[in-house]
Amino acid sequence: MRRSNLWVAVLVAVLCLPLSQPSMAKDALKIGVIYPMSGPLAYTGQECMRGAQIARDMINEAGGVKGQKVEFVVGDEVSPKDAMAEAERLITIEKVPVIAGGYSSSNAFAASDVCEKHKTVFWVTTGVGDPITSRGYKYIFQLNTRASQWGGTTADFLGKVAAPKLGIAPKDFKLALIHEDSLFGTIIGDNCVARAKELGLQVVERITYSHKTVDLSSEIAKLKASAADGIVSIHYVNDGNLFYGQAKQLRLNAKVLVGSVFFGLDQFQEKFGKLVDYVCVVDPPTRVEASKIKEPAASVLTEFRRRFRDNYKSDPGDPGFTAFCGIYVLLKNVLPEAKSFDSDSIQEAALKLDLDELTTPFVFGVQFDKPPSKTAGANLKAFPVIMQWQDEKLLVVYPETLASAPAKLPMPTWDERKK
Amino acid sequence: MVTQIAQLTINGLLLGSIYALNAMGLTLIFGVMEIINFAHGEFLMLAMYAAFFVNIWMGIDPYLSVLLVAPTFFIVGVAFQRLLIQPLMNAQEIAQIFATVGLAMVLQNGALFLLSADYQIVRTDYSLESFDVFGVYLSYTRVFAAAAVILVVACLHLFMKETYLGRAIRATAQDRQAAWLMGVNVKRVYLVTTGLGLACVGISGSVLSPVFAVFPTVGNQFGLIAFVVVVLGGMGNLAGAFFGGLIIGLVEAYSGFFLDPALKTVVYFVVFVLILLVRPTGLFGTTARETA
Repeated sequence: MRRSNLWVAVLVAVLCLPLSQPSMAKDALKIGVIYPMSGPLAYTGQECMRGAQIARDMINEAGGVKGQKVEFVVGDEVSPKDAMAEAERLITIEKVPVIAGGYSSSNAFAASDVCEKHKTVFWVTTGVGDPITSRGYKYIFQLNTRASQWGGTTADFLGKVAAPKLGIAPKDFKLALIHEDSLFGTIIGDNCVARAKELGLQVVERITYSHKTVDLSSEIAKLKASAADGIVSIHYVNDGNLFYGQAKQLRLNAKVLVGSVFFGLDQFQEKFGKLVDYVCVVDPPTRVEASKIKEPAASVLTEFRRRFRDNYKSDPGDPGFTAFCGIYVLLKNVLPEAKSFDSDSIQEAALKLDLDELTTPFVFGVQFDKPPSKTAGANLKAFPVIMQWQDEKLLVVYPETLASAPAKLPMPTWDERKK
Repeated sequence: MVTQIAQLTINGLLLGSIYALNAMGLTLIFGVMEIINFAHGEFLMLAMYAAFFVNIWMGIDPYLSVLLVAPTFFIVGVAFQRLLIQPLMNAQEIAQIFATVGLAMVLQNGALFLLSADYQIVRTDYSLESFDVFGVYLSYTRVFAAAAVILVVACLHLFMKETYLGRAIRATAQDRQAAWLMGVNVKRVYLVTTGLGLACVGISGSVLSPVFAVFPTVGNQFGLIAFVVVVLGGMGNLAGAFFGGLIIGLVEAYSGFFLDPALKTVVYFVVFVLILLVRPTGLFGTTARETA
């Protein structure tokens, strides 16, 4: 009996041997990465992960960070509750010094509390909600543009470019908004309305809805009744698909339409073909021509786009683009500058970061607001752009300095498109 | 204004018939077996994927794919009944609930793992088209869904009334013991009923695939509302589910326009609770056993 116990012990030890081996090799640098991998936001979450993986691979192929290969420990942020639990797990069990990621603003907001409590850097690549960096936290960094800027830039474009082009005086320009009701849509809506009022535009309708809805027909009926010149429509993916399809079926017409997320993805064009033309999109500068930015950022951006297209047969949209750029800046510009790979050194290196416009793959620069400012960790140099589908290609049309083409307006009605 | 009201009514009825179509399978299974199938939404998701794959692999129009998907789902239903439900027929309700909830999770996460979270869109020439009747726009795909639900309800009604098997199903629904004593093969009735219930889900999935994007969590969006429709109509009652769906659709359309779209869900739940206060068994509840 005793002998058989001994044999069992030996067998267990032999079987466990492979498990303990990785720790003997030179340690890889582990960083936490959280995006929504399941649940209703999984599609965009997976695109984020693709962007992040390309950034990691490009850095690893070039020798890693200070000679160490980078490895991801992945967490799934389905809901705010999950995001908190996953952040807690990555910090306390996986012991990562930094968590990168965060797609949904509501989820990233929830996870940020956990990271700050544990004094672990949370490197938010994609979430755009302003509240993420609005509490003077020290360890939370938000790389992407902020939703308030999306709203403001959209209103600027409508008031300064669209209205004059359409020959409508700003005070006569009727604007209607429809947006999903999470943090993301609400902040864009609030800031768009505020800026539109500053510019003297008439806001005639504002509609909110849940992105889980299966029908937008009464929303569209309300928009039709408002007879707006311009419509701002802020959706995620599935609801964006629903909105544009029903807008066509129910003949909702506007002279200019500015959308977001879904309208900036290749899938939009694949589904609607020529009907995408004239639709404008507010987004981070995902489609700026690489030739408009400086080397080496231009080559990095070109290489990223090539790999994404080769692997996934589509161009990266805002989620893949921001995740790539955010992770790339972390691995290329921050971690190598940190004295060691603990959270405080990384935080220190991040605060010192000062990258100019056109020198990062983001197109915009990176410099964080510093404590004790309430918005510590917000990227002061980030800005969104307005793009427009022209001949089924997404081109930057605003601001002029980065534009590939002027905006084409007015948008034809559905019946005119048929001819 | 008249056109606007007409458009809202049409929107509501078309949306309502989609809800009703989704609720058919659920209410049929509940009516006969008193088992609540919490995996209903996930079966719908699988049916939509089935129609999608039939479309891209074989180039078959999603509406024609009904001819393949519905019989396949009949078989899936028989297997579901035989392997999961039958062993639990006499178990505690809690065990039945967890079995179907567990299946729902397996199906949803399995789909996420195998099919990825990508939104798949069935492309047809007509999925974005609509026609115009005196200034009121009707989308072809939604009109087709409405026609499908009317056809399904009519066929099921005839089947229940006119065939031996239909009468056996109704007898079993009224009193399992008595039906068994009268020589009805109860086990077979259950197999057929679940098969029919899931065939309805198959029809629903095929008909909805040109209307909505397909993705692993699409079942969540339709699952809850199917339960609301079934309870509202009187659990287990086909006509009840049909009118329950239409009522919810109309309430959504009107409240979304005249009140606030953000309040749509609130309003239909208020209506739902009010109806249940007046008629606790649902609209057609008292006669549920009769017409199941």
